[in-house]
Amino acid sequence: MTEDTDLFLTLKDDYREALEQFNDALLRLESDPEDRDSLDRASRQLHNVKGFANRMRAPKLGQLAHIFEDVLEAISLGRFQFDETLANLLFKGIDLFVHYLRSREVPSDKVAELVEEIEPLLFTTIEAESAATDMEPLLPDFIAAARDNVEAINRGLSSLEKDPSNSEIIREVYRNAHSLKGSALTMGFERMGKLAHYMEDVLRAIQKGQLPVTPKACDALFETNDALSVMLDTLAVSKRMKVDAESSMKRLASLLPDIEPEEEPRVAEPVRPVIEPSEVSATTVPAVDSVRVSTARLDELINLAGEAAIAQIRLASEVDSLMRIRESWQRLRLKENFSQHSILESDVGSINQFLELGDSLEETSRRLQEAAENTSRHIEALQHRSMEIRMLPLALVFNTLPRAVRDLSRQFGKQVSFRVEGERTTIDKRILEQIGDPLIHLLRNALDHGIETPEVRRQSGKPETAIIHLKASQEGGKVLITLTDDGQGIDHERLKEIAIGKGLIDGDEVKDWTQAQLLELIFLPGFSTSSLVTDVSGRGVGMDVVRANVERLKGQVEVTSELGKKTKFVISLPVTLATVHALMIQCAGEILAIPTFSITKTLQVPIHEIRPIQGRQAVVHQGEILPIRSLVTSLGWDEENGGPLAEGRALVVVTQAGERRVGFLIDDILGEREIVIKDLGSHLRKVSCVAGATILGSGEVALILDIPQLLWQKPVEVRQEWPEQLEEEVSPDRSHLILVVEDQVVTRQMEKSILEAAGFRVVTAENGLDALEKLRQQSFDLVVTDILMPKMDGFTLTKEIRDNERTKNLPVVVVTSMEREADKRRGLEVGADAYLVKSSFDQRHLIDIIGNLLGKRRVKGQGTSGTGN
Amino acid sequence: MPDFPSGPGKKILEQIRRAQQNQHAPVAKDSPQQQYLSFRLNEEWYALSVYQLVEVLPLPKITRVPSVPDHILGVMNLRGEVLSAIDLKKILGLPQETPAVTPSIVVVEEGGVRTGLLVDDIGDLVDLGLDDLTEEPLLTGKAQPAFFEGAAHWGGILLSVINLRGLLQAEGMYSPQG
Repeated sequence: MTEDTDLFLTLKDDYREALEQFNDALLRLESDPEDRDSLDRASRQLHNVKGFANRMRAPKLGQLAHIFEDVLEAISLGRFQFDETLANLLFKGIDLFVHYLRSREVPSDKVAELVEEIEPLLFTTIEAESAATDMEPLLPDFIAAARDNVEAINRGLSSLEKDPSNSEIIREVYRNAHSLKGSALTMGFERMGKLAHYMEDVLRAIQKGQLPVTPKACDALFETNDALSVMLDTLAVSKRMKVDAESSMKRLASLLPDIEPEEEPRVAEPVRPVIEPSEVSATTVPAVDSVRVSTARLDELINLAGEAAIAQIRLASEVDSLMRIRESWQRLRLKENFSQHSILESDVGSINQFLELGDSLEETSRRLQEAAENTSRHIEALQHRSMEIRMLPLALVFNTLPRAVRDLSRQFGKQVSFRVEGERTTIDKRILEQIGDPLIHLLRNALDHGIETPEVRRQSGKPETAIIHLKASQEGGKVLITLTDDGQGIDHERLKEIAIGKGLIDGDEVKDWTQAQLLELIFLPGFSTSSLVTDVSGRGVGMDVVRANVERLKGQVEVTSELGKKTKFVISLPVTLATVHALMIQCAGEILAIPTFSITKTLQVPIHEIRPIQGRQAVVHQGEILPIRSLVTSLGWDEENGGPLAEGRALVVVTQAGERRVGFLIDDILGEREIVIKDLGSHLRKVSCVAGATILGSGEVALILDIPQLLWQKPVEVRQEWPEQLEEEVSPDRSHLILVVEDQVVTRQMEKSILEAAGFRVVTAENGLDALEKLRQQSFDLVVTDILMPKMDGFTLTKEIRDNERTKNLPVVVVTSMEREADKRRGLEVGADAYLVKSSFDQRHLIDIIGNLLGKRRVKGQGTSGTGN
Repeated sequence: MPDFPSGPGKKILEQIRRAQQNQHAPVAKDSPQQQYLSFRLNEEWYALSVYQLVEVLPLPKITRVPSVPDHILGVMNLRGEVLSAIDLKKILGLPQETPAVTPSIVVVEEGGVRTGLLVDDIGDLVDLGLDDLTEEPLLTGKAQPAFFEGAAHWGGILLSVINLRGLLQAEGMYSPQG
């Protein structure tokens, strides 16, 4: 109960607001029944109310909200009018919801009464259907299987629209419609079966070439499939299916004039000869090579594997102690050697026993160690495999998007080609479940604001059909989802005006902001406005919610844009939420874990360099102001840090979330490791700045810090903490353009930021070939290159540069992990001007060398020295 | 005559037993008896129904958690499960007197959620019937009547019987008030 109370308290404000909004929308509807905006708003809020009721396990209220939803849907479909009777019933409902809010009691009788009053209204237009009684236990399986069918049909239809002659797709859709029909009829859902049957007829006609794949046919099939999907939804909620099959059936039938709408399904008939016998058996007797497992059970399994891993760590440390005891024993035995002359005759027997015991201790501990190592390997594999089960392809979400894009593009009158790539990339199921909404929101935005109408595009010399490109890929421990559109881009100057106009920022404050910083404004809460967002894109959520949603999944979202050309969103997400790679640190006597995706580097900073800059503690690092905060104080603990390290240096871990960077003072770094994420127990579900906990090998609990929350918790203060270029300390020399060639993303980015911080302009290339291409297109002042790279290595690149008349004098600096003398010689032989080894990599050294090569005596702005990377 | 099984607080029990022999101990008659675990906070004695008791542990390492109410000591590990640990003295508004010699964590379960309660010492199991709860519980400091079932006089010692649900569901228990 306490858990529910906690949840109730957490949710009740949102719930109250949803109710208020719903109430307000109904009032507006009452005065103007044609007001679509209010109708949409009412539906949306009602949906929230339903969600709340379901989360609070108040099924009666959930059911009521659901029926209300049906009512509103019927109104929106024009099936009946919003009149006074109806309004009264809905307001009565609101009273009941409010009652629950006040007392947490469900007035069951009154709810039932109200349901009884409303249902007849609905069922005059919609029929209800129940499963045959003996089939009820099969209901969940049926729903799951049928949803798969509906999903597959949807996917197939989307592909079919693009590729109407593909018989493979038609067969696939047909197969699914067929199997849906079969299972619906078996369950006793006659009307659903009938609807699927009509669908089947149309598909067969298409298959036979009697019916062309026209937009009209596709629309009718889509609509039917939607109707099937709605039926399944209602079935899942109420065990009764509300069937509204007439209109879909009529539309389908109109495609095939020879089929009567009222014709009874020919259930008993043998399957038509169109289908090959082998296919029939494939659909009716599905191969049992997979099982459905509830996610709760799966999570339990993963948890247990995590437990086993933790227990294993403890076992390993006990085995270690045993091995040390064994070693001491061996040393003792060698040293004493139990020289016979010093032993009394009577003691020999017990000494022999003692030695025997020692031998068996040795033998046993050796075997134990072996066994422990073995177990450890198995447990690791177990953990890995069970984690993999949670991993699902992004296709499950991506496949639903083409349909959304199709509908939205029609709605907005845009012409779009939607490309999806990398949908096989797998990701944690929990992330998968929650990434759909942010993606849809971004797509809506793109279609609504980003992409111009065909006329505008034509006028500005673009192809009428715009391109939206959705791409997923895995890079290291992260999954990157990129959404690009070739629309009009985001006008960052306009963003600035809006933000200033809304009082979100101060005009003076932003006058030096870079374009990237200005683009960040769209993520500010309260930024989305009616002047920027239309009714559809504005569905209650702004970009701040998109960012919050992504950050809740421990991910990040970034935006870049070229005005008039494109907008690009990059969402980076962890591959799994079950474990995280973290840096273990010590602070005020506590061990804390910081996820490495939030860390850019660790530094040792001379204490005296931490000084007030623009009113807060900071250091100048690589030409930027890096705000410094005490982690202890940020966590609200009131003791001091452990003090500076030796030689007056402080240990700083630099963290980043979005554009924001802060260095935290810590006491010690204990190392990096993969940790299992646990929650803080039901009571402490929402502790600020804490993302969860993990259990250390010692059995202690260590907290996992929520860096984005820690950095974003005080927006006003933090906004000023955005690093700014320090003009007096850095003299950006815009005349020098450097090409950085490096295949490792991280190193590439690091080198790029180091050089940019020192004032150079930087272009990057991923390998030697890529670099040569860029050298052909543009002229550079210097090249920094890695050696080991795919396609073309750094030696070959250097040689190519030297052999080319145009680039033979171009300075080349080699930065590599190959530190053998021979490699160094070879590097200089092929004509490199400098050779730096990564392991002893020093930023200032690099900048100095580059400065020298460019004939520049000194590059300023290196206030601190890095120890990271 | 209630019986006293042996346990960690044997000494205390002896004390209770002796006190009981000297005085007219209340004798449970009709009402069904329930077992309670007795424990000490400063010099006062309290009791908890064993139905809600999971186990008793010597004080483990407790990890501090930022921005939680003062009476939440932090979180601890119970065989892989992360529990919150609560300082009962702070909830009841009792002064923090001399540090306990044998501090223990009493792990309880209420509404499917486990919580650890920090106590100064563990007594033993005692049997009480509802009829025995004749006394007023000790309403010290911040203690609210809803925190208690009642109290029983037990051989010269007042045992305040905790109502765990009332206690753990109190406003502001897990998040700062206001």
